[in-house]
Amino acid sequence: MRSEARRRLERVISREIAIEYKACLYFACIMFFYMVYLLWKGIDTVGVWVIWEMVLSAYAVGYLQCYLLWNFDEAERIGKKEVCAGLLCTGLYAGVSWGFDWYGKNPAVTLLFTGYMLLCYQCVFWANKIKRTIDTRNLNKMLDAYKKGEKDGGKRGMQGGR
Amino acid sequence: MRLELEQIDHGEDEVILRYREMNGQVEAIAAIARGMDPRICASMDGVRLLLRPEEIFYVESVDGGNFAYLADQVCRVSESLGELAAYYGGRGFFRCSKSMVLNIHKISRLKSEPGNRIRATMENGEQVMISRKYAGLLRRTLQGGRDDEE
Repeated sequence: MRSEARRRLERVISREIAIEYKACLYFACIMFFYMVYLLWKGIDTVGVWVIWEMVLSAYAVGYLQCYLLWNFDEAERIGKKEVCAGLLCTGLYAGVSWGFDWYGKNPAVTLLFTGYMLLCYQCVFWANKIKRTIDTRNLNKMLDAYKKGEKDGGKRGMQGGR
Repeated sequence: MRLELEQIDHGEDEVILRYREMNGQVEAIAAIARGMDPRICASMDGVRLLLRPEEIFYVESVDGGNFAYLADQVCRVSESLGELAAYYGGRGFFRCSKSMVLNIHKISRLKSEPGNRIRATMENGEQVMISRKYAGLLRRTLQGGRDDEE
């Protein structure tokens, strides 16, 4: 009973960490675009409230991605549902940017921001895929080394057990 | 081969093997006597079997019973999954979920999956998904540090 509760707690915590990671990542992406936009307009300061809006929207979309949208940016491949989920999240970011007036309700900049966020999702998807490919290669190397170690009567083969 | 069993009242247990020439059968008996060739008690269709751990692909708990999957057979084993993972961990037995122990030597390929999970493809083509929790243990086992903690 207690271990079941502990397991549940661990699952929730690991999910929260994943959301935290996503929120930080996408907040950094949004912030980068916003800073470029401000510099382009000749402004070199960022309002605290805008930062709050960006952080909170990144968290909200992170929760949505993890709990309802199958963590689509970590998917194995991009299918229809992943595209739809990506468009939905990008649309939400665009809507929030419009609603909170991040880009002065400028349709061209908002459209550019929308395209940029889609590109961010695509890049995160690629980055995750490359990470898994490298991990797979390492795992199989470790597997081969483990098997070889035991065949050679190495330490592992004799370690513990019968 | 003639088998002679003799009960003794005192002294150490002893096995004397008399053979004309060393062959596989004699070697196997000697290995069992030395405790180097452990066998897992199993049964199939009412017939008792002694399985070598190396023959087993994985052991799965189904409806309260534990079943060992071999290349083309399925046998019921009496030992629990925890016992199997503890006793034969040094021979590649790894607890990959609450209801399964798999033999690392029978894995042909591993694949990193989203969510820090690992997909193991066995030599017989079957695929086993290892959850994030057990994937960490597998990584540590492959790196050399056997970890029996649940």
